[in-house]
Amino acid sequence: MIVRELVLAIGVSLKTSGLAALIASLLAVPAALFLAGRDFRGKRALLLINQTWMAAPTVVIGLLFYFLLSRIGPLGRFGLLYTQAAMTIGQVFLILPLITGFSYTALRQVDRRARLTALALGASRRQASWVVLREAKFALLVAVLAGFARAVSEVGIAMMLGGNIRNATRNITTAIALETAKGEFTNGVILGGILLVITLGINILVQVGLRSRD
Amino acid sequence: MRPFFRSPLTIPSWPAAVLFMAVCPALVTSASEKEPGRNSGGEVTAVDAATEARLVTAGSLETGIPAAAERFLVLATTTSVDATGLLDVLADEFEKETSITLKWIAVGTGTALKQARDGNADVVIVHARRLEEEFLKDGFGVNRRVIARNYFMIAGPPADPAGVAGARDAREALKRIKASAAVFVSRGDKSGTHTRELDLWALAGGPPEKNYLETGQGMAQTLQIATERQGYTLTDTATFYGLPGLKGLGPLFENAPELENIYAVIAVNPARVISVRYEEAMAFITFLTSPRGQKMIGDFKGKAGRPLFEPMAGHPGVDLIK
Repeated sequence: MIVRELVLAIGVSLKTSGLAALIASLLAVPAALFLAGRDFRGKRALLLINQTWMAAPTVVIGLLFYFLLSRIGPLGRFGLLYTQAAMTIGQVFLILPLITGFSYTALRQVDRRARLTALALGASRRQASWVVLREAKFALLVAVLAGFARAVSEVGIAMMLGGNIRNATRNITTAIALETAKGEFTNGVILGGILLVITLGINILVQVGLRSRD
Repeated sequence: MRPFFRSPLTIPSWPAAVLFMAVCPALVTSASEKEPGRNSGGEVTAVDAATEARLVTAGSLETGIPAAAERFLVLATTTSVDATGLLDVLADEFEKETSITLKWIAVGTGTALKQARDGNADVVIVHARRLEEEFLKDGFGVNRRVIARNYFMIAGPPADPAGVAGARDAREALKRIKASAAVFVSRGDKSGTHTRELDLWALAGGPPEKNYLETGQGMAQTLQIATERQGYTLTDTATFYGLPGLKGLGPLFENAPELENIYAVIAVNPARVISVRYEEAMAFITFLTSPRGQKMIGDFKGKAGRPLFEPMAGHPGVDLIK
């Protein structure tokens, strides 16, 4: 495996999973804020579904979106299957419940008085929500980074929706699967090491974030 | 009221972690017990017998458990004979006749030969003469026998934007694809089909620089990708016609004599790779080239209901490699 291909595969991983983490966060954090802010009928059920969805295997999500995005499927006319867009879409739905759950926990742990005080001091609902978000910002960062780590390390969705096309949808994990299948174990080990270094980098970010909180 | 969902961390995660760590080594061990790999046959059989004994004492003997003295054979093969279902039929009959279980990995010719060199296979079914010659010359293979043939073909979007259907020969067909800058989906995995594709591209002045997608996967998966991306691809007729539901892809260029595709079976040389089950490998080769095995290959119809392989063992002069 030549260096150029290696760099491209790393780029695909960072791009698709980074975008997935961004999109999922934009959807999940507001959802978590909504859930944390009020109690209503069916909320428990909603959280239970979220919790279950967190454990959905990547290949099941891959299968679901395979049917949706395939040319014979309902979204087939967009021709998205086996593109980076398809990988990102699948990964968004993989990490959405994870970020929602973690963000919910984070927001729930913010002292309720923060919100009440803000409201009492004349803040609008939006401003009060902003206060809560700021209180929980480091825990929210952890949630987003955990989502990214999950997306960047999964292989099922990338393989089923991306198709492992060289220099196009081949990312680190599908490249490892391919190199192993070819018997090129050295390349697999190197790629695995790179993936671990990336994950290590994320964890360091999290640690730094947590420390600056104290 | 306490919220139902307070924190994922309040869920006691350590019992789950302990359970996971306890189960994982057990799974790995049981998987490696079943793994034929480089272990000698005797070891594996002993483990299988032990496993069975345990199950019998536990009173949970099921029908699927192999006999204690199971003989088996590991075949590394090109993907087409697997994806079409031919191997399922042949393996059943072979086991009935010889009581040898055929286990196979469908990986493409290049990888199959590599697996055989590494001692991970006892016999190979392959279809790339150039790679086969190397394999035999290096002393890893013995007793090569041609077993079947079919043809390669170019499949692509039914609208045929590159006008491949009217080409005189394969070289011109590829030139047209290159000139039209249409998407071409390549196996890209050093398989027999990929090797042939590269040989053909060499005749057409090299593969295109643009819109050339390498999947690194088997023929069936590559055809799926060609369907989705509406691209052209070189495929063997067996996989193309043997796959159900390839509606978005049409047979555009076929029946060209220069696209003949010859399948051969080769035993791994026991003098070179010690762990090889040579006796079983030769039994398999004998079975494939026997009139009975050849008739099964010729009679085999995939899901499309048409013959996919033409038996060739009756033509010993075909594609002979000295």
